[in-house]
Amino acid sequence: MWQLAASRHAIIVWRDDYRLRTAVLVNAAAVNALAGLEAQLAAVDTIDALRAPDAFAARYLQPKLAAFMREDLAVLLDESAGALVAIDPGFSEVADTLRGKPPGTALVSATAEASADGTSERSAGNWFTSKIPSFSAPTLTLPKMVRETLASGAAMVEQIHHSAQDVIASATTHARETTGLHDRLRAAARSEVRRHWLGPETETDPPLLQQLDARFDMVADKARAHAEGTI
Amino acid sequence: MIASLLGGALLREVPEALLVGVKSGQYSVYGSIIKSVSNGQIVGHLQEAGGLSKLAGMFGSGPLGLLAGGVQMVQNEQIKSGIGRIEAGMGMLQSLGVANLALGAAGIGVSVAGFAVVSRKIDHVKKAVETLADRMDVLSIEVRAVRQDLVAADLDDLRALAWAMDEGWKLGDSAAERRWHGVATDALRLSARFERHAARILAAGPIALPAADPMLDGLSLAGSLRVASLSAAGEVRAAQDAANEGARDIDALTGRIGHADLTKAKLATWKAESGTQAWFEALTQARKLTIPDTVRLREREAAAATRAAPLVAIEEKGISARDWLAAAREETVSPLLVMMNK
Repeated sequence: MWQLAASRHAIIVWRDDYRLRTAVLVNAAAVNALAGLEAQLAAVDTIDALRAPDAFAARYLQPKLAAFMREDLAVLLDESAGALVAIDPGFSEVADTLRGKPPGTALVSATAEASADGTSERSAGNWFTSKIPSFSAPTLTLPKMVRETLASGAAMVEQIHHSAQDVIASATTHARETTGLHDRLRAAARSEVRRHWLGPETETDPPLLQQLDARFDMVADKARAHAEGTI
Repeated sequence: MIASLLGGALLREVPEALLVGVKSGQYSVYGSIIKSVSNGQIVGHLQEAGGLSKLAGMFGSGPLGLLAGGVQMVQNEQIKSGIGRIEAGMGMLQSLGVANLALGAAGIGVSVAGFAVVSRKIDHVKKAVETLADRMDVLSIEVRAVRQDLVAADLDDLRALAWAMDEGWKLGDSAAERRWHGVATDALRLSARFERHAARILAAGPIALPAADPMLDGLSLAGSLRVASLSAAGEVRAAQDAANEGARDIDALTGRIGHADLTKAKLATWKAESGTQAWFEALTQARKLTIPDTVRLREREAAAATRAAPLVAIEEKGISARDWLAAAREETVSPLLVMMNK
């Protein structure tokens, strides 16, 4: 009995550690992305951004989210899989659901379309698209709106890269409006981060962090079940 | 003194080498088990002893598991005036990292705590239940649905059972066995009630854990009493089953609640904007604040999971559980004894 309890404790400590580390990582990525937005504001297409600040924020942030998932997050998840196996080599099959696998589902479709349009979403060997045949693990995907936006390709990216000269050429009388516009764009970006990166949690189209929590919970439950079957 | 009982060194004071081994990381303590870090093998079983009552007495009816404050409390005027043995006992509990466990509701090993000690533990739980009323406005409907007067009545029943258990030691063999069988039956009924209270509150999610904590302590105390009464009655197999069942019940209630859940529940009560440095700082603070609750969860589960571990070894050595518990009760100095695995 105590061996099983000790194993369960090791699993939940692992799960908590990586859930919290992931939260820190996703937040840090969001902080960086929002900071990067400031540099883009000076070059924004005023009319277009005024018309649809939410779309501007989405177009700017969603490629950042995709890149983060592909890079930093994939590294952390690979590390988390290794840490789980270190608890018990018998957890290796369960841990593999966290590791990078050949692409195959929603994100890949979206990124493939984006790549065809010339955006830099190529070679997405993503852990979150993986499926292990013996487990019916839910596939972690980019939030729906992110996928749709990514799929629309390069056109959206071009819209946020207007030259600074356009802005410099704006009349002085336009400055106050522009300042207000920047605030609207910042607010739209923060809203985008809430909806698709960090939460609050939602049943439909969950933000990335909620999906990650669910993934860690699922893997921990599978590891517990494995421990119960072998101890 | 105790080592001379039971025909050998079955139960003995915790040797210095073991304390040094735990401190150096050679051994780790999990509930009542001391195990080797290198090979995972059990080195010894810890068992609470009669000396615990002296330590518990120092805390009056206040919180018995005062976390890091325990040592400071012990280093008070009483200690300075010369209660060296108590200081040594507390120092040993601290060295093993089990002070809160030993002095809290969960206990270590099969409970041999006398009525006075159990009663103080129940007082502490009861106070925690009473404070729920002060926070009713912020608690969920699930928490409010648990009637505090019923919980208080269950705690009173538990106190009466602790008295009955203790009194059994003064009875003749057959009367004692009947008494302890009765205690075991009633403890089972009370366990079910505390389990129901806790489950109802925890339906509100991890945020409700502090409100469920007294119920979980009640469940732990009732389960401990059940195992102790069955052991004393010589029903070793039934005691093992009861201990395992208790461990499963507690795991089912809290085994999937972790530090991340408690941290995020705490974070959600604040208004930090995600995607900011302030959110990171709030997360860090919430993480820090929820460490004690997380530790309590895991310690309670570990105590339940290891409670019956020594009973098998005792039976294999042909020693009655009653004699073994009696020996632990008779140790009036040390709060903990150990049964080395070899």
